[in-house]
Amino acid sequence: MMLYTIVPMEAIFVEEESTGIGVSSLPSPIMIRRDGIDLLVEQQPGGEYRIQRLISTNPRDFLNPKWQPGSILSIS
Amino acid sequence: MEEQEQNSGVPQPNNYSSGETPVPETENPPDQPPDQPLRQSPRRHRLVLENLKTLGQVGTVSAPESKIHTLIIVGQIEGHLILPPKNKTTKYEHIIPQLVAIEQNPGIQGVLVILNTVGGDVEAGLAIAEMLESLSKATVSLVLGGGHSIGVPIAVATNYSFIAETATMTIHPLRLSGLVVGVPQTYEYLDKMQDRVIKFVTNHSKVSEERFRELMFKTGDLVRDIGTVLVGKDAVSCGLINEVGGISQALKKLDEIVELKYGAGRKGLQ
Repeated sequence: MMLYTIVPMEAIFVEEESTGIGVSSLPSPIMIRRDGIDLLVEQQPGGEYRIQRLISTNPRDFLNPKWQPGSILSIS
Repeated sequence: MEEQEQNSGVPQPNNYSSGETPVPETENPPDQPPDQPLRQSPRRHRLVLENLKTLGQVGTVSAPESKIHTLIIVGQIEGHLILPPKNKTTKYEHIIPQLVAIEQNPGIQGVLVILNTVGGDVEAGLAIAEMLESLSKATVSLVLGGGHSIGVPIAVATNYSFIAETATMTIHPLRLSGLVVGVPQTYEYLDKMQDRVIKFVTNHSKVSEERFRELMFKTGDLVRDIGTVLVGKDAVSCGLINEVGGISQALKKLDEIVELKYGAGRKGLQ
């Protein structure tokens, strides 16, 4: 693998040295699909999902308040 | 359309609600008394179903399918290696299937690519650029904020490219990271990888290979490092990007290219 980026390698791969509170507590998002739309969500303590990112190319999906990042999806 | 024309001369039973489209009924003569619930109910039922079918396909009446889709590339472009969660990334496993879906969808006529990236994986970046370049739809890219490193080939891969006046693009040499074996072959390999990027960029923009190499290896512009930072107009004057502009110019241009590719006839359909 080869990276071509302006971000220094040390800034990209910082995991090891700074395993303070910030880095390790970052939950890795999971991808789910609702109504044919891919969503990156993080699981909430209550078992619900909070939308982190919407993965769609349709600009209309981003206008739908249902898919607004930060909103909570219940499991159903 | 034909059905409505056939129907226009025929007296309508007056128990239709005004919003419903009348459906011609060939087996039932139109002069029969309208108030017969047993005969009317299956027809009504079918009308409701018909409406549901036609309305269901367009979603709601007010929102027809968009013929322009957008591809947003932000943060690091993530390829074969999953980057630590601290990094904001755009993943190729998301982008590539989306591009395939766009290519296959006859309703989509144009793609607007919005770039705000610091670069990333060479293979993944080139894969996205190669896909954009071979897409049959109209494509326009817009660099906002920054489109650095591997973002450069993605920006030039589209039919037409824009950069915001204050946005920047950094062109610098590729670097080897991690465990590097210090033999000439390593540098040959690096050179080959670099040539792929240079070739792609020079083939898809007006910048010459000499000029691009010059920008890549220039000293002094990036303090204590090699490379060049191009701000808005600089990227246009060296031929890398077509025009300085924002979202409205980019969408206008995309409409123009759509018009050229699909003609005015198809525009009326949407």
